[in-house]
Amino acid sequence: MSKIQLKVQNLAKAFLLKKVFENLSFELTPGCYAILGPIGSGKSTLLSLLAGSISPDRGIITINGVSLEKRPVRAKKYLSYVPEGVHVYPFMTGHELINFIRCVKRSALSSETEKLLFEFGIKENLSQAFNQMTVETQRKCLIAAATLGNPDIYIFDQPTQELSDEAKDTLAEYLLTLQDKKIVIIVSSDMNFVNSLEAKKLSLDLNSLC
Amino acid sequence: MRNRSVTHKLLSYRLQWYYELILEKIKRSKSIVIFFAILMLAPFGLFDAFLVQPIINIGYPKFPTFSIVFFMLILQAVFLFWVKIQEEAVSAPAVKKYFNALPISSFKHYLVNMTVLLVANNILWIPFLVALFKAPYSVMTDFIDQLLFVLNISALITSIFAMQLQWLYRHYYAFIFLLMVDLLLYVSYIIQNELYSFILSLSALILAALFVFPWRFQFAISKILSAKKRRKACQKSN
Repeated sequence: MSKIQLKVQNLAKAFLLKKVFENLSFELTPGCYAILGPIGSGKSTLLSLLAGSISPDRGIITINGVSLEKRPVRAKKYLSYVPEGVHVYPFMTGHELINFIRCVKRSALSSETEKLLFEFGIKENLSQAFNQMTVETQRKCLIAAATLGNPDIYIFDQPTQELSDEAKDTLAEYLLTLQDKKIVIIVSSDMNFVNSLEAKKLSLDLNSLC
Repeated sequence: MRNRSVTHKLLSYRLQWYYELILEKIKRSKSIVIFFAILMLAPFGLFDAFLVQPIINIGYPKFPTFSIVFFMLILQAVFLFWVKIQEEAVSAPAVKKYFNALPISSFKHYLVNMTVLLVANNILWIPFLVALFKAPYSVMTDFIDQLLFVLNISALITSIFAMQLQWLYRHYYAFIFLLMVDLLLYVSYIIQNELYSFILSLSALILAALFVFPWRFQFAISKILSAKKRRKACQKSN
């Protein structure tokens, strides 16, 4: 079995004239990491790059030794990404989303997902379309869907946004069980949540994440 | 089987998204849509004068002047504008962030984009079809002329479609090559030799087609290059 590892080498990304990263390199092993930095420092951009949602201008991202650029499908199988906001077709039902991701990741409905759906209390809401759900239910649905396929790396952008305190506790409890085995990367403005995870705090700037 | 169903599901979601968004846009700007429909279908024949005839002229120009290139540019601009106004419905940027992070190959995304684009272009293909039926085949003296007409129109359609795709992917550099299609067609009109005209029209079609499937093209090129590198490395080691 390969070692769980996320490696970034000389990553560069710019939007028009604004450089977000110039020569960013770091390596992560299993554990929980919270990325901190001022607004506009590129935290969400970094997560999008790590998830393969956008492409870097330069640099290499390898997930468990697999290059995200050269073998994106294989590399993306190792990770799950929950972006900020809800970027799902509004007419899609919760069931449809979960079945689609199961189909994409070729995985069965895991007991972890079932448990999270139950603890979030959204099992009955899965037959609703996303545009009929509350924002909290939408977020819960996306978080539960992220557990499908037993990924090695979890990437969450503002996961507690719109979540109730009870749901935040459920999520924190779940993430704590993953800490030793998986890499969990979080960007969150909710410092209580970050502290409850005992996450390693990494500060992001143009050239470093430390 | 499962792989196929991923593409099918992705396509059905994208088509539903397209349909719902366009329906909403049409409802919002009903009067503009009705105005343009009347303008095009009016008995005084704006449809024929502004769309069908220029296309026929591009396919079989009676007096090939450089203005043909401008006709082509105008048609390409109309199609690009058509994509621009439908961009949100065609490329679904609102869901890209999430779906691009899923382990789905970029080729599947590309196929889905291509299909949605074909659907989005539905109305604009009508003048091309009418032009194909209304073409003055009787004036075209021999089979080569008719063949050149179909080839020229095919090259134009392919270049337009490639331009739209490259626009969606923000590969603006491709436009330089695609504008060469217009020039190749123009040279094929003014050249007297039928064989050269045929070769030029065919090259224009192939060049445009390469940008409809750029990954296949790039993949083939990279394979050739890596094979060359391997051969050189073998020679060195020997």
